[in-house]
Amino acid sequence: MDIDNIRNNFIKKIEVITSLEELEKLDVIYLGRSGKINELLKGIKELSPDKKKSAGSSINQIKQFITIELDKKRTLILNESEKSIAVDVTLPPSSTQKGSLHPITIAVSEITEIFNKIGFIRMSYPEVDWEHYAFEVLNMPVTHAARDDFETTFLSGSSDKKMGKMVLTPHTSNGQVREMERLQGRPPIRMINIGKCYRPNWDATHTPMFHQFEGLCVDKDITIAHLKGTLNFFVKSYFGDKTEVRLRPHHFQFTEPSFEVDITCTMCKGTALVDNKKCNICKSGWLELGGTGMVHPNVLTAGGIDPTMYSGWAFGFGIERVNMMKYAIDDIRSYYSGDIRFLSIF
Amino acid sequence: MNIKITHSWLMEHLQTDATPTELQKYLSLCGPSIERIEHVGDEIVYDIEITTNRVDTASVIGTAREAQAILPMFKKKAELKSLEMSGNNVPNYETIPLTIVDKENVCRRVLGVVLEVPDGIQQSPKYVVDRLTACGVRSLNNLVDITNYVMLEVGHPTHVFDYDRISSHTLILRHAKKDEKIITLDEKEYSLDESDIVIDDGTGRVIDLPGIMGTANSVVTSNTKRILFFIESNDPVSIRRTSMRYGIRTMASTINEKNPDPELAMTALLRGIYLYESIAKATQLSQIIDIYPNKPTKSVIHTSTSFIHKRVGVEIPLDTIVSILHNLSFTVEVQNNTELSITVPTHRLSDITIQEDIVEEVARVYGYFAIPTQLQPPKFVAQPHDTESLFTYQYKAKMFLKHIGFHEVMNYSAVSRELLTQFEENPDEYLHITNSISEDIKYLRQSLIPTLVKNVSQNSGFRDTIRLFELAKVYIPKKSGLPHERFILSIVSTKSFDDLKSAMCGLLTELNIPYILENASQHPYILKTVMGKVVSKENTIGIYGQVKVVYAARLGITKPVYVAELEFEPIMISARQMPVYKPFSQYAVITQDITVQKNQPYSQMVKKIVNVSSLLFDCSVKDQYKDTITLRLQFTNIKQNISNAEVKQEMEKIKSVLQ
Repeated sequence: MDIDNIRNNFIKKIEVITSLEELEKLDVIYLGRSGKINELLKGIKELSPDKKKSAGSSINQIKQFITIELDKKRTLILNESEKSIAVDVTLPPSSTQKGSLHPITIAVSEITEIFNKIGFIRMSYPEVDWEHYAFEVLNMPVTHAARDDFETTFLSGSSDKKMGKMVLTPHTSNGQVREMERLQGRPPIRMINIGKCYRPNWDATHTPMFHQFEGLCVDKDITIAHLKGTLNFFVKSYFGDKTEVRLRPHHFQFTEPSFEVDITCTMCKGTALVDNKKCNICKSGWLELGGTGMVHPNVLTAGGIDPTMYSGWAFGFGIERVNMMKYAIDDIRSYYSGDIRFLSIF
Repeated sequence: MNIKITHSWLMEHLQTDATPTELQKYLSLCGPSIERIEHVGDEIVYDIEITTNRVDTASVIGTAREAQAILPMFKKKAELKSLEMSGNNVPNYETIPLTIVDKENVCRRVLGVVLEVPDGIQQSPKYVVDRLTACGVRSLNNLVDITNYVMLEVGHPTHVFDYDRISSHTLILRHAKKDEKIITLDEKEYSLDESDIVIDDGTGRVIDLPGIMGTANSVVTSNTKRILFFIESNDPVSIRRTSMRYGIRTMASTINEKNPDPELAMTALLRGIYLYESIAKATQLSQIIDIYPNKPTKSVIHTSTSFIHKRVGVEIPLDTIVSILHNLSFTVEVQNNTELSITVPTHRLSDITIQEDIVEEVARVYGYFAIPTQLQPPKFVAQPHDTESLFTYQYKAKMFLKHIGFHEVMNYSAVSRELLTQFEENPDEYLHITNSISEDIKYLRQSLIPTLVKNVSQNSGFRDTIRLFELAKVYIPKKSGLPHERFILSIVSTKSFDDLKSAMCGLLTELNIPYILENASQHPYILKTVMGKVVSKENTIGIYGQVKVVYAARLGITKPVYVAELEFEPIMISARQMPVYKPFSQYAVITQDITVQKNQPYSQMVKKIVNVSSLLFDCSVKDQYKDTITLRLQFTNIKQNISNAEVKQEMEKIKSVLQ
C-alpha cells in the first residue's frame, strides 16, 4: 500500500518538474540517505522473515523504477536546455593578436636548416671589416672597380697600415678568409655565413643594406661536380623538387672558374609560358639566383691553405632575391622601411 | 656591361647553320650570356652581357669567335670569315706633317693615320645607320659613324679628329693640369684633375680626353676635308677613374676600362681605313704612326689532363680538351699524353694567367650541364658552441616575441644626424659612412632605441598600439681597430608599461634566465622616474622604462613609449633549454597575505623576504591600494607537512624585515 502511494506520488511530482534543480531535490526526497526508499528499507527489519523477502523485492523494484525515471527526466531536461545554446561559430576569437617575424628571419632559418643537413655550420663574421678581408684577400687589388667609392661603403674609422680602410662589408665573402684563419688553414671547411651587406645603391630594386648567404667548402679534391651537387640540393630543398639548376660562365675575382646560377622560373616552371602567354618574370624560363665558383687559388693562399693540396667552392646569394623568387615578395624597399603594414603580413 | 649586335652583321663574320635561338641558347650556356633577342626593324638584335674579364667578346667579331668554339660542341657548323682591311705603311707615301708624342708613357699603344675625305661629312649608308641604330648607337655622319662601327665590329674604341683643326699637327699625350678646363664634344665643360690624361696639341690646348670622349674643338665639322683616324690603348684604371669622376660613361670608356687587347688596335685601324675608303672615298695621306713601346710577351701555361679532371670532377678526353682550346685560339702542345703547354692568344692575355683559367675554358665549352651533379663527401666540422647558442637563442627569442604579438622590424644599421640630435647624442662619437648616398643612413647605430621610436612615430597612423622588436648589431667605436659589434634586442610597446614588462620578463622566463628587476638611473633616453634594469647573476643585462617624453615629442609622439634594450650576449650565455630543475613539494602549501606600507621597491622587499624565510615558496603581488601593498606568500616544505605554527613564525620574521 505504502509502495503504491509512493509510486503514484512520485509520478505526479516528476511529471510537473521542468528544471534540473527540482529534479535533484526530488532525487534526494526519494533516493537520498533519509529518503523515502531508505525509510521503506528501515521498515523491513520489523517484518517476519517470509514477508521480508517479498517486501525487499518490491522495494527494489520501486527503487529501480524511480532511478530510471529520474534519469529519463534528466536527459529530457538537458536535451531541452541544449536547444537554447547557439552561437555564430564563424566569429573570430577575441584575442587574435598575431605578431610576426621579419621575412629575412624566416628565410635565414630555412636556409640554415637546409645547409645543416649536409654538414655546413653557420658562422657570423663582422659587418664592419677591413678592406683586407673584404677585397685584398679575395683577389681584388686596390685598383679593382668594386673598391671604388661608388661600389663600397667606407667608414670614418681610422685605417690600418696593413688592413687598409674600414668598410661596411659589401658581401658576406669577407667570411671566407676569416673562416680559413679560424681553422688555422686546416680544411675541411663547410661554412655558411649569413649577414648584412651594404652597397651604395638605392633604387626600386636595390636597398643600401641587404642580406647575403655565403657558402664555402674547402677540402681535398673538391670539384665543380660537388658544387653542382650542393646547389642542386639547396635549390630542390628550398624551391621544390621540380626546380632545375644550371650554371653559366661568369666572372668574379675570387673564384676561378666562376659561374652564374640559374634556376627554372618559379612562376612558369621553366616553360617561359603562363596561360599561353610569355612569362613576364623570367628570361626564357630561367631566373638568376646569384654568383658562385671554385675558390681562386689566391684566396686559399691568403687563408693559409695550400692550393696545390686543396680546392673548394664558394657562393654568395641574396636573401631578398631568393625570397622574391620563392614567395614573390617583390617590394624590396619595404623590407627596411619599418612599415607595420608590411611587417604584419608575415 | 651589355652590348647589342645584329644577326646579319654577325653572319658577315661567321658561317653557321645555327638559328638565332640556338645561338642564344648555346652561347649563353658556354660563353657570353645572350640575355635577349630583339627585333629592331628588319634586324634581329642580340643583347649580350659582357663580363669584365671578357672584353674580347664585346664585339661582332668577338662573339663570332666564341660561336666558332662553342657551336661545334652542339654539332653545329661554325667558321670565321676573313675581315676586309686596308691601309699600309710603305715609306714613299706623300707624307704630311703629323707628330704624336707620349713621353710620359701614359698609353700602351698609340696609332694614327691621316686620310683625305674629299666629300667631307655625309650621311652613312643605310646598312651602317640601321646597324648602329639597332645596336643602340646614334648615327651622326659617316666620318663619326665609322669609328663607332669599327668599335662594335672589332671591339676596340677609335676616334676621328679634323686634321686641319689641329693646326700644329701635333698630339702630345700628357697628364692634365689641376683645374684645366675642357669642353667635350657634347658641349659640357669639365675641370680636370692631375690624374686625368689629355691630348695637347703642343700649344697647351687640350684637344681630347682620350679613351673617353673627344672635345668640341677638334671634332669633325661640315668643313672637314682631312681626318686623323686615331686609336690609343689606354691604362684601364686611369680610364675608369676619370670616366667615373666626371660621370662620362661612353661605350668607349666602358670598353677601355676593361683592358682591350692592344694588338686589336691595329686590326681596328686597318678595318677603319678600309671602311673610310669604301664609305667616304678616303685616301691615305700619311704613314701609319704606331707607338708601341712594350709589346705583350708570350704567355705559356702548363697544366695536365689530371689537373683538369681533378677540378672538374669528370674526365674530359685529351682530344676534346685540345680541340676546345684550339677553337678558342690557344696553341696547345701535348707531352706524354697528359702534360699540356698552352700558349695564350693576345686577346686573352689579361684573363688567362693560371691553370684554373684553363679549367674554366675547357669546362665551359665542354658544357657545365655535362658535368655530373654530386654532393661532396660529408665531413664533420664543429660549430663553436657560442656561435650555435647565438643563433639558437636569437631564433627562440624572436619566436617568443612573435607569439605574444610583437612584430619583428629590421632597420638600416645607420641613422641620420637629425635623429641623433633629437636624442641629444654627439654625432662625432659615432662611426659614420664617409661616402653615404643618403643623409638618412650615415651614422652607425649604438642603440636600437632611436630607430624603434622612429618606427613608432611613422606607424602611428596605422595602428592604435604599436609593439615591435629588433635584434641587430650596434657598433661601438674603439680607439683603434674595428668597432665592437654587439647584438642587442630591443622591444618597444605603446600599449602599456605592463605590456612591455610582460614581454621582457616573459622572454627571460622562456629562456630560463634567472633575473630580478631593479631601479636604474643610467640610461640617457629613458625617464629617470620610469627606469629599471634587469639584473641576472649580479650583471645588468638590460634596461627598460619609458622613453623621455621630450624625445618622443620631437618625433611627434604624444603617447608614452615604453622600451627595453637587452644585451644579447649575456642572454645567450645564461639561457637554457630547460630550467634548473627543482622538484615540486608533495606536501600542503599554506597561503598567507600580508599588507604593508609601500616604502621601498618591490624587488627589495622580495630580497628581504627570501633572506629570512626558508619555507617561502612563492611571493606575488595581490593588490596595491594607495601607499600600501598586499603580498601573497606561499609556504611549503618539500620534505614534510608544515604546521600553522611554523608559518606563523615565518610571517613574524617577514613582518619584521618589511617594517
